[in-house]
Amino acid sequence: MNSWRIDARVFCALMKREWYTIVDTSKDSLIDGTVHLGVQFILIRFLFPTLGMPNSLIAPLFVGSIITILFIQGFTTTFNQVFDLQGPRVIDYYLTLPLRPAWLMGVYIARTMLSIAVTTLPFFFIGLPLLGSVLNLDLKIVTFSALYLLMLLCFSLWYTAAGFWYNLTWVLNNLWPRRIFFIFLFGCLILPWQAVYDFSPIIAYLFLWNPVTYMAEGLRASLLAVPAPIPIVASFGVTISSIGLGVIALKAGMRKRLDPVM
Amino acid sequence: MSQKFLVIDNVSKIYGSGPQAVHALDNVSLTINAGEVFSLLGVNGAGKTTLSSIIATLHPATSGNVLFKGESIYNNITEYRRHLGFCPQKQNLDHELTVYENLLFAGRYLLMPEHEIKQRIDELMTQLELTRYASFQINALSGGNKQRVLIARALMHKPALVLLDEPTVGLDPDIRRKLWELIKQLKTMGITIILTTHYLDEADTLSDRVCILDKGKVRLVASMQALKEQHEMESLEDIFIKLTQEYQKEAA
Repeated sequence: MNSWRIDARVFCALMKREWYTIVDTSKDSLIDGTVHLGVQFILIRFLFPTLGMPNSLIAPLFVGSIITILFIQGFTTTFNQVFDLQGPRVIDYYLTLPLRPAWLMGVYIARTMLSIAVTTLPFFFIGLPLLGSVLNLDLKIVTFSALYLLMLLCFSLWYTAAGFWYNLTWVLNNLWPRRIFFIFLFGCLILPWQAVYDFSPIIAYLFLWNPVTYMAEGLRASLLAVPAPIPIVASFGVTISSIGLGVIALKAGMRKRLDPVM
Repeated sequence: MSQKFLVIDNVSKIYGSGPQAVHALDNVSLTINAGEVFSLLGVNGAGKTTLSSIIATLHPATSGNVLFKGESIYNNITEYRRHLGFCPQKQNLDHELTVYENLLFAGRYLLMPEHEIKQRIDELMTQLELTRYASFQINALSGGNKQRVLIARALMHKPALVLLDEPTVGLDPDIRRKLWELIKQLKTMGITIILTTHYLDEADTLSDRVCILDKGKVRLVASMQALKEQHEMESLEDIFIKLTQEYQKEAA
């Protein structure tokens, strides 16, 4: 059996194990997602319109809240990974299995993608039909699916990489306030980019330094019947570039923290 | 007994770089024979765990090579890993799974056929007296039982080479003795064992040969019998203390 086939088979065995946990915890993840959605439903359907917020701002906010889930769930990945590295180090066992580290990282990435995706399922399967009239939907399914998958990959990569770069104390004390918070806040998740531009073009251009702005605007363009101020090609381009950088960060972090036989 | 089962060829390991670089291993060369129990001894920081982690392919050597049955392990590392069972110092069992599931998934990771996995789990559970703990979560086990599960996991795929890194640290004396019996059993099954230990009575009881590492260098490789004859002492502990004192004098 050649080593590629061995890698692939061990990868599948590890994914089976991950799937086992994901299925086991999926009930909780779905409840979490539904609770988030419930809050969003009350805000979007009742509170914001009552307060006079125009539909042009409400619908983009809903899409932003889906990306917020990626931020929150991704953090759990980093925490679990850092905890393992400073605690039991199950990863050391995995590193002695007959598969190369790149494939092992593939397992970590796929696991994170799946667990985040499960939490966002209620938004798509319950939220979109329920809030369709308010959101003014225009679903471009292929574009949306492709961009969403790339975003899941990007978040998984960066959060997994963060798990190798930082120690547990730093992650607990600083990852949100010193890293995620700024990316989150200046990522056009709350307001669409056009609204920021209308307020101040300078601030809007500053937002363009953040890849999350492109992801959020791309997702809005593929879900809603709104004009896209940022071309969808740019959203794909920036997301793919961020994935590339994420791969580099993950590889460097893995070398730094694990020093594996590559 | 075939010779040159595992050859450590001029292996060095340096952590960090520049003035802060730590030379954990310095041109270590060793030959481990098939079917023997080979113990790595040394004081803290001697390089025992570094060497065993290189043999376990957890970390690469900075320079040098490791040959398994005459071929560099780095030429086909996945194949080498299928012959290797590693029992690390830290109990890194999967805490989300039960004892049975830990072994079940270990078998799957090592590509064993499903029917063989179940048979092997039954064998190991019986041999290691784990049957009644099959459905226990790992956190519910005592330290000794966790250690047994760790050893069972390392043995799932019937490896030709087993690396035991401090397997009895923190265990009660009766459990230590039971693990010794197990290691003796493994030896009778023809499995080659590399044992890293701080406990010299353990090495004395179990080893065919010992290697003393000191500051990352091999200071001595000898059979237990030759060592005792040469130093005219019966206890490995006495010999070890004598030798380490000599090394300290040399260094001073």
